[in-house]
Amino acid sequence: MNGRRKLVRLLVLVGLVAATGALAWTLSNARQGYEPRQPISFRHTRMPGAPDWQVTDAGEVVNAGGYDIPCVYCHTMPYKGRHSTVPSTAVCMNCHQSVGLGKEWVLRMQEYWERGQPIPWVKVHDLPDFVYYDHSAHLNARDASGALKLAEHDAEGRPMVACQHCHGDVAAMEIVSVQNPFNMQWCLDCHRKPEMDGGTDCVVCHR
Amino acid sequence: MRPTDPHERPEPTALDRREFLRLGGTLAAASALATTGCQPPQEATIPFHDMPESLADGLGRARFYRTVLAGSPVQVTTREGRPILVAPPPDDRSGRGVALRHQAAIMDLYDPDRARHPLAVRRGQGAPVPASWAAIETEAIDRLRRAGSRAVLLTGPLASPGLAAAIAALGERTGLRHVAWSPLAADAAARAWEHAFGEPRPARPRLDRAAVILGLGAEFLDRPEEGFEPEFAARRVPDAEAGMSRFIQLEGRLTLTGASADERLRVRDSELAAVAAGLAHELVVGRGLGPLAGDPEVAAALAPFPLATVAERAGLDAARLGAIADELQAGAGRALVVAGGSASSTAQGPALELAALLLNETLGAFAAGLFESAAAPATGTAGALAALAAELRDGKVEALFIAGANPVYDAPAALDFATALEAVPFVLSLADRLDETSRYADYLAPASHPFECWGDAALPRGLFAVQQPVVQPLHDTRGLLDLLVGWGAALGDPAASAAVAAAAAALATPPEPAAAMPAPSPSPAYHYLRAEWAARLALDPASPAFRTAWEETLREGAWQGPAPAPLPGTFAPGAAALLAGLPPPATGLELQLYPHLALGDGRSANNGWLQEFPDPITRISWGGALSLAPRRFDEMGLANGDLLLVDAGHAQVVAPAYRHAGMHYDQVALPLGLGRTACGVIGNGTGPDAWPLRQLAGDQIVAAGLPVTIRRAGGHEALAFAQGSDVIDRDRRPIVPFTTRSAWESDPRAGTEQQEGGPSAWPAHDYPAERWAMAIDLSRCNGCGKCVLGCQAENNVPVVGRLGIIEGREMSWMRIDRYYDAPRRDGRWGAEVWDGPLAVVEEPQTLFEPMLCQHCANAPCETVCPFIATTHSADGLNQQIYNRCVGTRYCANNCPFKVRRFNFWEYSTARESALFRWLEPRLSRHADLNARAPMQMKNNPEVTVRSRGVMEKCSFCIQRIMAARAAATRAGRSGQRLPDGAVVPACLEACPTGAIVFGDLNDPGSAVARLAAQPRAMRLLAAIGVEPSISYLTKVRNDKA
Repeated sequence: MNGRRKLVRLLVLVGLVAATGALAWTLSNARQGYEPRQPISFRHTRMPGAPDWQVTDAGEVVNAGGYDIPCVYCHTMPYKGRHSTVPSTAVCMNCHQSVGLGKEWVLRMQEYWERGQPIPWVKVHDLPDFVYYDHSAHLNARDASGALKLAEHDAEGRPMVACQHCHGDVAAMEIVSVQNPFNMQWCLDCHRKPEMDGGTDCVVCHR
Repeated sequence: MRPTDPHERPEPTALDRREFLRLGGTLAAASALATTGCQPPQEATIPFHDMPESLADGLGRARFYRTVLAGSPVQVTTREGRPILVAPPPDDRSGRGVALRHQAAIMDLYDPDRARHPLAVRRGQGAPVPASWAAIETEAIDRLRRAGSRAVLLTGPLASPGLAAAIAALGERTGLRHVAWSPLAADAAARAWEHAFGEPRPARPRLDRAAVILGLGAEFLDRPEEGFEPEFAARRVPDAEAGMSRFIQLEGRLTLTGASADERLRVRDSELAAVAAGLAHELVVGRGLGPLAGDPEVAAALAPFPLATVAERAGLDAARLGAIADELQAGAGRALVVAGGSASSTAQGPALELAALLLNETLGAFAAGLFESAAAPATGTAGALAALAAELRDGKVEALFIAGANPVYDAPAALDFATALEAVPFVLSLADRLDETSRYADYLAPASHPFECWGDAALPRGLFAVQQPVVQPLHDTRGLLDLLVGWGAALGDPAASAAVAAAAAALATPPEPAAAMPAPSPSPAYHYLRAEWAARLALDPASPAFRTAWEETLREGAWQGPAPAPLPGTFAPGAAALLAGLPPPATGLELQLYPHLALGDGRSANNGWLQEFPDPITRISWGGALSLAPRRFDEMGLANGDLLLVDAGHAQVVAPAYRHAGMHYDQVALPLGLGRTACGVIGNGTGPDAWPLRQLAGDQIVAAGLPVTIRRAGGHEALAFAQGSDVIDRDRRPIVPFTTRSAWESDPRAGTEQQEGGPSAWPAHDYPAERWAMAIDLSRCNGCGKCVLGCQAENNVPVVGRLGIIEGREMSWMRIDRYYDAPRRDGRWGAEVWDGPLAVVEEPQTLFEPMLCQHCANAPCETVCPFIATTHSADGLNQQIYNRCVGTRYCANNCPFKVRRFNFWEYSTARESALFRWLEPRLSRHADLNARAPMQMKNNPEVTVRSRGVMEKCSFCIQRIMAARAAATRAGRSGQRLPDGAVVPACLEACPTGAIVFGDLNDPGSAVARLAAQPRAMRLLAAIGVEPSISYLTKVRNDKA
C-alpha cells in the first residue's frame, strides 16, 4: 500500500468523523437561532412598559412608550392547559378595531378578519411531535416552600416574566427567534437541577 | 411477495473495498454539506379565527359529555371537538350498561364507508347518483300526503320518546303507520309475562339481591347493554358483604354467562323448558312448595314432567337435578331463576320463560323483591314484520320509509323482503350507508350518527336522558328526528312547525359573542325535544326553571321521572297451561343461532374494532364458526376451520368448524350478525351469514333448537384465533390463581400457592414518591373484554386485520386470556393438555385473565434492550420510548407475559403510491382498516401514533397519569403525591364490574395497596423474581350449595 492511498484513507476517515460531528451538532441545535418571517410583522417590542404620551411638533398625541400588555393577554391559557395559544384574530381586533387603523400590517390583519380566515403564523418554537410538553405544569410548579420554580425574577433579582426562562426576552426582539437550543439536553439541564426536581423519567415527556 | 429463502446467500457485491470507501466518503461529505445547509421544517401554527368561549379553561384538555347511544347512557370524551372515546358514565343510576358496540361507536362515526350525501339509488338500476335533500324531502312529503294510511315507517327498536311522539304526530296528520322491527327481540319473555301476569312487561331480575341464581340458558352477561354485570359481580367475591352468590347454569353452548357459573350442566336448548318444568314439578308438586302448591291447574300442567322422567329424557343425572332443586328450596326467598337468551328463541321459548316465572313464583322471588319493575320493551315483533311484508307484496303500501332497520339482511328468509320491496311504488331509506336494504330503495337519505344529532331516550327505573350531539355532522347527513320534525312542519303539525320556526330563527340570528351560552341551536329536533321535555317536566319552556333542569339533565346525563308502574299483579295459575302444549325437543342435532358478542345484530359490522375483537369464549376474531361439541368434533375427525355444510332444510350455510368446549353433544351453534354484503370494505364478506337459517313459525322467530344436519363441505378456512392454547395445567404453570370457596374458607391464600421469589441479581428500586400498581380481581372479572376495547380506543391501537391475527401480529395492548382449567389429578397432566382432552373440555372450568404489561420491578425486557429504549421509571412504570426503539425485539422475546407488540407494518399511514400497493397488497388493507379519512380523527392526541419498526405495550395510561399530575400542579399541589383515584386508566374506566383497581402502592391507604395486601392477591411468576406491579386476586368458585 503506497503513501498516497494511506493519505486518501486518512482523509476519508477524517471526512466521515467531521461529517458525523457536523450532523450531530446540527441536529442537536436544530432550533437555536431560528428566525422565520411571519405573514404579519408583529412587533413585540412595544408590548411591555408604561405608555409615554407625548405631543409631537405637529400637535399629534403619540405614545412613545409601551402598551403595558402582558404576554398572556394575547397568548392566553399557558397556565391552564398543555398549550399556550397563538391569539385568534378576534383578540387582535380587540385593539385594532380602534387603534393603528390604516397601517400596513394592521390592514393586512383586518383583511384576514374580514375574510374569516385565521392568520397562518409560522411556528417559531416547535418541539418534535414525540415530546409532550405542558405549559401549565411548568408555570404552576412550586417548590416545597411554595415558591414558583420558574421564578418571576432573574438571578440578580430583577423582575422578569416566567415565559422568558425558555422563550428569552421576546419583548426585546424585533423578529422573534429561538434563543435556546430546545433540545433534550437543554430540557434535562433544567430538570436535573435539585431545586427544580423536574423528573428525568422518559415518560415525563415521551409516551 | 416471494417468500425469502433463508439459505439463499446474497450475490457478492460488485464493489471492491477501495471503491466502497471512496463512495462512502463522498456520501458522508455530501450528507454533511446537505445537513449543515438544512433548515428544520417550517411549520404553521394556525390560531382560531375567533376562539369559542367554551375553550377558555385550557387548550389541549379533554372535554366530557353525557349522552345516550342506542338506549344506553354513555360518556363521550372529545378533544378539540372530536369525539375520541366512549366510556360508561361514572355513577350511572340507569341500570343500563355499555356494550362493546357502544364503545366502538367512535369507529362507526368516522367510518369512511358512510353515505356522505343523499343518493338516488333507483332500486339498484345502475350506479346510485347524488341527489339533493330538497328533492328527497319534497317527494317524501308529497308521498306522505297522498298515501295516507298506505304509508308505513319501518324502524328499529325505538327507545326515544321524542321520536315516538314525532312519529305519532305524523301518523295523526297523515295516517302514516309505524312498524318497529328488531331481529333480536326477546318476544318469548313478554309472551310468558302476558300469560302469567296479564301484561307483556317483563320485570328485571336483581342479581345483587339473590343468593342462589339458576340460569336456564341465561345470557345476562352476553348482553352487556342490559346492565347486569355490576349487580352480578357485586356478589361474586368470597368476602362480599351480602355473602357470595352461587350461580348454577343449564345451557347447551358455553356462553360468556355460563363461563362464570359455579356449576354448569349441559342441557340443549330445546330440552331446557322440559327440565325447567321438571324442577317446577319437583318443587311444587313433589315438595308442595310455594303459593301454587295444591293448585289443580298447575299440577295438571306439570304432570307430564316428573323430575326423573325429565332427567332421563334429557340424559341428565336425576340426582344432580334433585340437588339443584334442594338448593333452590333451601334458598327460597333469596333464590332467583333467570331464563332467556338464545334458548328463549326456540319453539319452546315461551314455555321456558313461563317455567322460569313459575319457579320464581314458587321460590317467592317476586314477593321477596328480587325483581324490579321495568317499562315494556320497545321492540317490534316478527308478527308485525310478517304482516307488513304481506301488505307490501299485495301492493297495499304506497310509500315505505325505512329508518334504522335492515330487513333485507336480517328479516326471516321466508318473508323475502327484497322481492316484497319491489311491489312498493316509493321506498326511502334513512340509513347511514348504502346497506342491503337501501339498495332496493329509490333514495338513500343518509342518517346522522347519534353523536351528530339531537334525540332522547327513556331508560329503565324511570330515567330520561337527552342524546346531545358531541360533534357537528361530518357529512351532509341529517338526524332522523330532525327529518321527521321537518316533515311534520310541512304537513302542518303545530309542535313541529313551532320547532322548525325556532330553528330557522336561530339560524337567522348569528350568535352574539357576549350572549348567554349556549347559543340557540339551528336543529329542529332540539326545539322539538325541548318542548316535549317542558311538557314532561311540567315547566314553561321559556322559564329559567326549565332551563336549569334541561342543562342539569345534559350535564348529569339523566332526569329522574316517575318510577315505572309496579310489578304486574299475581301469577295466574292458568298460565301453566302453556307448558302443556310444549313442542317436543328436536330429534338429533339442533342448531342455536346467537348474536355475535361484539357485533350484535350486525349493524356495526363495518367496524374494525368490533370485527377484530376476539370472542371471549371462542377467541375467534374476524368472522365466526360453527361450534361443535368436542366429542362430536373428534368423532368427525375435524380440525378447526374445516368447512361444514349446515343444512336446516329451508336453508343451508357453509361455515368453518370450531371445537367448542362445554357444548352439548347434540347441539351446534353459529353466530348471527356476520356475512354482510353491503356494509363497507371492512365488514363485507366477513364470516358466514346465518340469518337465513332462522325460521318463522307463526308470528314467532325460531333461532334455536332448529333441527339440522351437518356434513363436510370440503375445504378449509383458517380461523383468526387470538390465542394459541386452551387448556391450562396450573400445577405446571401456576399463572391463574383459582380456588373453591371451601378451600378459600380454610385457607384464604388457597389458589395462590407458588414458589416465592428467589434472590434477585438486581438492586431493588427506590420509589421516592408513587409506585403505580394495579390489582385485578378475577372473581369479579367475567371476561367481557370491554377493557380491551377501552384500551384500544384510548391508546390508538391499530387494527391489524384477519391476516395479521392469523400471523399472530395483533397489536392489542391488553388481552383477556381464556383458559380451561385442567382439574388436578394424581401426578400431573402430560403434554396432552395442549390438545384439550375431553375430560377437561367437556365440562370446562373457564378462567379469564386480563393480561397487560405487568410493569415488573425487575423487568426482563429492560435488561436486554441494547438501546435502552425500555427502562424503569421512578414511579414504577416500565417505560417504552418509541423514538429510541430500533426494533430489535429482544424485549418481546424476553417478556414472560408476551404483552409486547411489534409494529410489523405502518398501519396508520395510507400509502397512496400505486407501486407500494402493487408490491404489497396488504398495505391497502391496512389503510382501509386504519387510515382512510376521516378515520384519523379517532386518534387520541395525547398518545403517539406508532410507526413501523417499533415495539409498543401498555403504558398504564401514562398520558392520564401526566394529566393528573398537571391538574394537581395547576391546583397548587405540585410535588405532592397524587390522591387515590386521581388516575383512572382506560381499562379501569371501561370495566363494568370494578374488577380493575389502580393506584399508588406506596400509599398504604390506597385501594390498590389494600387489595395487594390481601391473602387472595398473587403476583404472577413471582418464582422467577420479576416482581410485577399487578396483583391478581384469586378467582373463587362457589362450591358451597
